[in-house]
Amino acid sequence: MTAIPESILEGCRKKERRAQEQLYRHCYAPFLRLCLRYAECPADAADILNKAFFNILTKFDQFREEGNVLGWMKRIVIHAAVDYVRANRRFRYHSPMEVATDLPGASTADATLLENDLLALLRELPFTSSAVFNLFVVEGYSHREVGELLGISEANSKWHLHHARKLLQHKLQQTAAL
Amino acid sequence: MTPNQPEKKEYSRVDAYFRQNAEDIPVTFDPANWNALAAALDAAAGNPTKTLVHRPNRLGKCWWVSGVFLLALSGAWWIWQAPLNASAPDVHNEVGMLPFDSTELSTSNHKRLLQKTRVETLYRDSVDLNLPKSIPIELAPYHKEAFQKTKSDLVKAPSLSAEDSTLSNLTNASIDSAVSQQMEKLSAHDSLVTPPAKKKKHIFW
Repeated sequence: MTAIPESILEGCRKKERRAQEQLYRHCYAPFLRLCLRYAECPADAADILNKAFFNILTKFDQFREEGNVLGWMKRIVIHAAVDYVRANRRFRYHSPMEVATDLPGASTADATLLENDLLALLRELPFTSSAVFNLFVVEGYSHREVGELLGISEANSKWHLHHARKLLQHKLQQTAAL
Repeated sequence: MTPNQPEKKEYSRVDAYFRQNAEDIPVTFDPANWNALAAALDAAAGNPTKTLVHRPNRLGKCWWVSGVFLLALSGAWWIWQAPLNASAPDVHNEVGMLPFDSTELSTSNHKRLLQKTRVETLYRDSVDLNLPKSIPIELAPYHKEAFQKTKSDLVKAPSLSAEDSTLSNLTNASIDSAVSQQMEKLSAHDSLVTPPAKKKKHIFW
């Protein structure tokens, strides 16, 4: 992600709507990708992004760490995504991948399309395992930080990561993506 | 080499695959998302309480309830007093009583009102004694002044006859001396002379 121009940051501090829109457009793609990896569907990802940006834009004058505004914004987006995971992890329907691939109604073309889709692979994981995998592997958090964010123990975070890796590796080996 | 290292090496390929492809997820900008966020920002800026938890204004409701209660109570008091006032005799229109003037109730005029009450009491006593009403009583100047303060007609006090036993010694005396002597006689009737007692106020009113 490219650096944000200072004029946009100054306008956001003054709560100018034009500058806020420019900041939203500037950060839309990378932050929506981040939200898509945690959300169940694109609509949920957009909701997560908007909640995060609402917090960013309303609290922009509280930001004091000059030069690290992108990290501050990314942290807020990740926290919004984790809030979503914690609120919805009990309601996600999960079927084991082995069973899902053996569904008789799935055509070969659809299966190939889904298998090549990274988001589809992540969404087939259990909610907490998917979140732990994203936080640990993609975002770079430690198991202790992941446990604090998701409200689980460090050992439980390690188990979820191992479980997610095992499932993903099995799936990727089946599709010969690796 | 620990036993976990081959597994980590094996899983590192999975991690690398997701790290590389995480940035390749296709995304297109949807203006509807920004419009929704702008509307939320406008709502938060225009009416900050909308984002907070709604709390009913119980204090305002309490004021309304207490106000209505006081109005109802005062109305009930007025309704209760209305028949009493209608049935009660008009004290101020009695013979020998001075017309009532509400301006006399002020603190500055209280002394004058007290003096006037004493004169009225004396006159009422004289009426009770069946004195002839045609006896003229010459009032002192300040009494006249006090009487003229009222906007109604002056009450003509009965004159005193010389053969009257009660007021025989007052024929040539001024009303001041008559008042002072009658005050001594009526000292036992303090209740008639004392100013009207203040109405006892309720502690909650």
